[in-house]
Amino acid sequence: MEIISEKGISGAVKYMLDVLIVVGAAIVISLPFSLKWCFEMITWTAGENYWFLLGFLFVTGTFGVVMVFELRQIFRRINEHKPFQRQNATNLKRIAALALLISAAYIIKMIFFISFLTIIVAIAFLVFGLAGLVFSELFKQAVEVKEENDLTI
Amino acid sequence: MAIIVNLDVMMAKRKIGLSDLAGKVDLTLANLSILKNNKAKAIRFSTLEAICRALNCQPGDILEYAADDKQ
Repeated sequence: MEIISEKGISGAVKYMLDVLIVVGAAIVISLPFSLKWCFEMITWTAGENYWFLLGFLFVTGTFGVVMVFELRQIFRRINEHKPFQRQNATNLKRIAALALLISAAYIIKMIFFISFLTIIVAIAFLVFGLAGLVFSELFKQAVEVKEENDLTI
Repeated sequence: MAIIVNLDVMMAKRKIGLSDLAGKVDLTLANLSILKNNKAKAIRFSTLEAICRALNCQPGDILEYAADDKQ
């Protein structure tokens, strides 16, 4: 599947954002009613299972730390005034993959322990991961343009 | 690449060194070396114009087309 194309991931992300805008606006407007409905209809579990939460947070926490480490690499290169490097595109892709993994973990958690925050984090990381994937591809294209420009005398 | 830069030939004819030419056409020595060693991907018309002026020659004196074996 192509990353940057109307029928590829970037197209899908755009449609997702369209849906998110509508759904998000609808939820925000309907909050006074929908919140009441949620409390009546869904049994919210706080997730007090120590061992599950321990393992879950351990895994997602590790992903998160690696993500920050990758982000730090990118910022180190930006601070050195060398932003357009292939390595940065790779780092960005890894960040996107980790974000998607975290999102998947939170979606799995939703089955066992559902809470507002779990849903929000799952959706946020899903969008962040897909957008990251698109941006990493965009970055790769930028690197190619820069290389071409550097070798134009 | 099927386009060959014969800058060194023309420079030898005009008896001019790389650093002298770099100064005349306002290019860095590094960039002029890339051009001379056939590593450049493209050349700006403004650069070509400056080199032609400095060496008093035509673009055809510097650039040459040779059929690529790959095609």
